[in-house]
Amino acid sequence: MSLRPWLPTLVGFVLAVALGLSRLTRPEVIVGWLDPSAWDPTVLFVMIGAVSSFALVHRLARARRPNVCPTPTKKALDLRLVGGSVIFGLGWGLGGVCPGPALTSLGAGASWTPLFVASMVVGLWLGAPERWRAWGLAKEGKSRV
Amino acid sequence: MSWWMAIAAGMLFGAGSGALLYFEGRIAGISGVLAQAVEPEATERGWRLRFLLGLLLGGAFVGLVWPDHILHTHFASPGRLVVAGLLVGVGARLANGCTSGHGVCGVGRFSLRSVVAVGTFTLAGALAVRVMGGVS
Repeated sequence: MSLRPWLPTLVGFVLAVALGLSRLTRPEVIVGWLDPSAWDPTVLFVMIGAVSSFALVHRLARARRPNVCPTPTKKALDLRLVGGSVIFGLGWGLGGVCPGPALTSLGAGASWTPLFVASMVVGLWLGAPERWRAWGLAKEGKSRV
Repeated sequence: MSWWMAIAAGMLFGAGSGALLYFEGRIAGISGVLAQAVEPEATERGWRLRFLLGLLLGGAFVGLVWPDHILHTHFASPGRLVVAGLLVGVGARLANGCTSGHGVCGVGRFSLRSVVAVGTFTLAGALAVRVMGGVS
């Protein structure tokens, strides 16, 4: 039996360990990053490390595995991107939790996580563009929302 | 947490996301993976569920090895948690990504969309903390 199908599991495990090790699983560390009056630079350092190592692998993947490496084509800065990011940011600041740390904390059995993750899943479902179109909130085809 | 430890943990995160890109051609955007995994008509649900299983197992590991790195009782009320979760979910779906997809993978490939997303959600987050208060 090949172990290859379990590569995503290993990656998920590594990501959770990285989030836990760096304490990004602690909402007060996130809130500290967003609060200039009690500034905690942990998020910045984790981001610097993550972006630099991912950028390196991304370069390598583009050069050596052009058939595998996806190239996202979407370039436009639209209302959906900016509006969605505003909504996401408000929720991020309100709870001090984003999706990765939420699932990591769920795995660790934190008591608040079932409620938060369930709400987040409902939100992910509600935010889908195909649902907005079905409800008439967004136009068919090329939509601005 | 020393700053170099935070950078090292970040590099581990980037390397993990990089491995998924290099070997599978997939973006390790956690909100996107979760959203697609729960879509009723999802295709390619398998790898997404296996990825999410890894995150949960990793979380269990963190809870055992560094129990104080997990917050067991949240400072926010249940109502505030529900609103926060809903906003995080809707926003990430609309923006096509969260802190992992835009923040790490998108910024890591120098995507303008992702840089704008990260700047926007950081400012909105700071506003929420400012208005609603942080750790109380």
